[in-house]
Amino acid sequence: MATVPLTAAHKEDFVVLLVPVEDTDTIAQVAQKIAAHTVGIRVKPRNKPLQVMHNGRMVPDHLTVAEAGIRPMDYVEVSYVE
Amino acid sequence: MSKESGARARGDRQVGGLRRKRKAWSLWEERRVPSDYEVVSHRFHYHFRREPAPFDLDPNHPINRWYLKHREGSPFQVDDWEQFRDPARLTYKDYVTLQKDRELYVDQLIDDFEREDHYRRLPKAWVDLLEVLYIPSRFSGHVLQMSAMYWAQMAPSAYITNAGYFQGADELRRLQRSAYIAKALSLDHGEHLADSERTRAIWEDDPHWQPMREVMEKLLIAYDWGESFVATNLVVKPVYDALMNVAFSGLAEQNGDDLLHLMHRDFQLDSERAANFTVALVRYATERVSDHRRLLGEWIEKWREPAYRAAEGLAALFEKAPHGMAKEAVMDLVRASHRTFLERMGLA
Amino acid sequence: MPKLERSAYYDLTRDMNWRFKYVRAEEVFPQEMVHNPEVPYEEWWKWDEPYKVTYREYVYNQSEKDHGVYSVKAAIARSKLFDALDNGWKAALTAHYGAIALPEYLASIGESRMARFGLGASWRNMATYGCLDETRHGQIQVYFPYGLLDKHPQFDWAHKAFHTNEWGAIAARSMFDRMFTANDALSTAIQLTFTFETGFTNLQFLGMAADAMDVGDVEFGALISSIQTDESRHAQIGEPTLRILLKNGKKKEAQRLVETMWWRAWHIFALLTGLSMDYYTPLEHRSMSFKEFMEEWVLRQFLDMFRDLGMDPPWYWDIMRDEMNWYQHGLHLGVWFWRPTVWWNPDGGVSEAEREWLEEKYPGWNDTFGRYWDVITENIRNGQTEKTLPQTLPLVCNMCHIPIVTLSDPKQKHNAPYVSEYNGRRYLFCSEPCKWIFDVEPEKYAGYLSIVDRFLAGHIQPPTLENVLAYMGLTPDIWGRDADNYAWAFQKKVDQAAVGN
Repeated sequence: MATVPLTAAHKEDFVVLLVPVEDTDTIAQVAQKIAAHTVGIRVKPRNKPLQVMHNGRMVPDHLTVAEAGIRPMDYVEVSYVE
Repeated sequence: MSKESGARARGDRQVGGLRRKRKAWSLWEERRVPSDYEVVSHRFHYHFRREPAPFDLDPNHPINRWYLKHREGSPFQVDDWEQFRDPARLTYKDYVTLQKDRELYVDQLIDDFEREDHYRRLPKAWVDLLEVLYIPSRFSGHVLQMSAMYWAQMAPSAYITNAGYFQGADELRRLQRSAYIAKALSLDHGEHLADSERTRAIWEDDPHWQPMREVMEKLLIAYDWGESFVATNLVVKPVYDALMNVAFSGLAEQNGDDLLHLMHRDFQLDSERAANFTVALVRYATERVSDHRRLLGEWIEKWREPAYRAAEGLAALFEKAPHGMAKEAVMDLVRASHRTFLERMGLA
Repeated sequence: MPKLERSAYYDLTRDMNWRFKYVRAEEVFPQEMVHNPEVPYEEWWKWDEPYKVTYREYVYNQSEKDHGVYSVKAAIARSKLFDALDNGWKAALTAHYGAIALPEYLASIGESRMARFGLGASWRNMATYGCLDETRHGQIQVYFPYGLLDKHPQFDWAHKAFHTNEWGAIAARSMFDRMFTANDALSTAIQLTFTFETGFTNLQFLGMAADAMDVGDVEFGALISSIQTDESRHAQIGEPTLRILLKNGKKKEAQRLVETMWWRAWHIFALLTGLSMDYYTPLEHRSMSFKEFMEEWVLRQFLDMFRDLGMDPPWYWDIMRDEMNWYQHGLHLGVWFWRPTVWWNPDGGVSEAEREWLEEKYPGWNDTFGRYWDVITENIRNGQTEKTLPQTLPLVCNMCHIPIVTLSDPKQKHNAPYVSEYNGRRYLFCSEPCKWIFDVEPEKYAGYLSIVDRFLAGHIQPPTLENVLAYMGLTPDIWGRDADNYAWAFQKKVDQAAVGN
């Protein structure tokens, strides 16, 4: 298990954050870790599921960080499913 | 309750939270309260010996490399330069106040002599000598201005740098008065005295000036901060000032030019301030690192003969004044003055 | 008074240019200390300062000025005036002293570099005065906050900031080192005096002096306006340098020098002055918004001068104009939310009345940045202030070293940082111009580690936020807090009306 620092942002937030995740974390867990720094902090909570974009495409929730090919300091963006 | 007062009351309590009465900068190490001079000089050169490089750029940036080579890499080092104090303890405010009074005096001097129609009454032979010996000295003076500004920007502490800035400004002060005099003389003795091309030709071609020009040009490329400081403040400037302030002031007096006599006696006060600063800094360094006696001695050796040859070239011109001074007499004065100065630092 | 007017003898004080015989010109003026783009040496001898000054005039004027300003300071020190100042204004003051005081002194190093390596005697003389001016500005702007140390320990950072690795100090220091402290003489003439001083500080000081008097900070007002009178003397150094570059067909080089610095000055200016004008200055004393100030003072005047000199506005002019609508709002929110990482107490500046002013000056503010402050205000009202404090680091731009803030408009395409790869390392930037400035001369920046790079490289152990504060040199008595202890979150507009009478 290795820690993977990510540059991350919630689409509705105003700043890019440094969010460390584990390479074994699922994408759903990555979304939660980013939400913890943004939703209810600066972004108004909405009861909608969260999705994660990496390299321009939405990444399936069940994949792990490693399986999704997300490397250290890659940029991921979490957003509510409209 | 207005926002203003409410906020202030709450603000004060909250802002005051961990307030400890602080008497001095947190980076000030001594128990006593610092003087105003120390408040505005202490540890301003945070970049000296900063890791990985002095400035927040690529460590191999050309100017990072320049400082690492010529300042941090200079053999002229002590553990802590920040305890050094310039004897004159000048802040900027002190410096401009001090020099305003001196400039007032020189203006007054020029006023008094101009009221006596001084320039017109100077003998032609004396003015001819001034054209060759005095008027081109704005070039040599400018080099001293440049070399002071160089070692000042390279020095490892603001206590040293600031004294260098003021020394550079003092050189500008002296050379600007020579420019004024050149123009004033030209109104009675001929336009050629205020002709830049002619004056530059003397500086570039006249044989009497070439040894001085040589040592001055080489001074400009002595880039190690310690060597630049030693070559300028321990050799070239004291020799030059002994010649162009002290000896020249005497020559002017002998030849009835009391304006230049008194002006250059005034400039010698600036030179003595620079000398006192130099003595204090050298003692500060040699007290902490005794080997610096050897190091400074070697640099003095390297620059002494070229500086004396430079003085000798111009000293030959002293003989050509209506009431001249023998070249050897001038050189004895210059060498004795320089030796006495070096003895103050145990470096003769 | 000596009979000769200055103009009669002035040219003889600045003709000390000559051809070297015993050393080579390239040794006296090496490229690393003065980057001369092949303009013939004797062209530089024609360098002509529009604003003439002699040594005697200099010491007369300057000793009068210092006498005046220091006596104002002495008088104020005895009064209770400082305590009556608004906490928001104190934030602007503390931030200014920390970010600007010591760098003014550092500018004396840039000026002395020109005083030695400037390619004409007139240039070297003007830079000698410039060196003295900056020594004055550094010393006086450090001396004033020294007198306020008993008011708050944060004023210690007027002296300490540049010794630290606090992110704002890094942002200011990395810019000023590039602009003058570690810049060659020719680039400094264009990037410090022309781009930064004429473009920004000349006017910023004017703006602040007016605000200071308005707010009742007579001491700071006297200080800043007095400093301002020196600025035009040495800020002029850029113009004659630019004219000679343009006359010798070096417009491309001149344009490059301006463009690689203007943007960075804009970002630091938005950080310092933007926050002060749009959020810290008390509402009743705000003469104009930061955007209005930029458009009126900086853009209009600078564009006129740009065109007069035959220069073109930077290629990113439109990107800057867009950022003027939102960038300072992002920086303010970032500084406030990460307040423990700054040495001043940021004023939230978002009471209902202030939000109304922001909406009027920046239509749509409430729909973008306002929505963040809604969530933050809610958390404060619920007593959950810990939710308004940071748990992780923001990403910092590898060029301007300011957190990467993005337009808060959810409709916009993406927030991803701009990226450059160089020698196997990845660099992240907040904007296209910051990336471009890096790509133009990467070797000048590549080996430098941002605060986040250092965190990731393990320089801060253990890697906790608490430890990051210690690494930044911040002690608990300095950590920034909300200037009004969240009073703005409880201010109803009705209360505001009570303020009026």
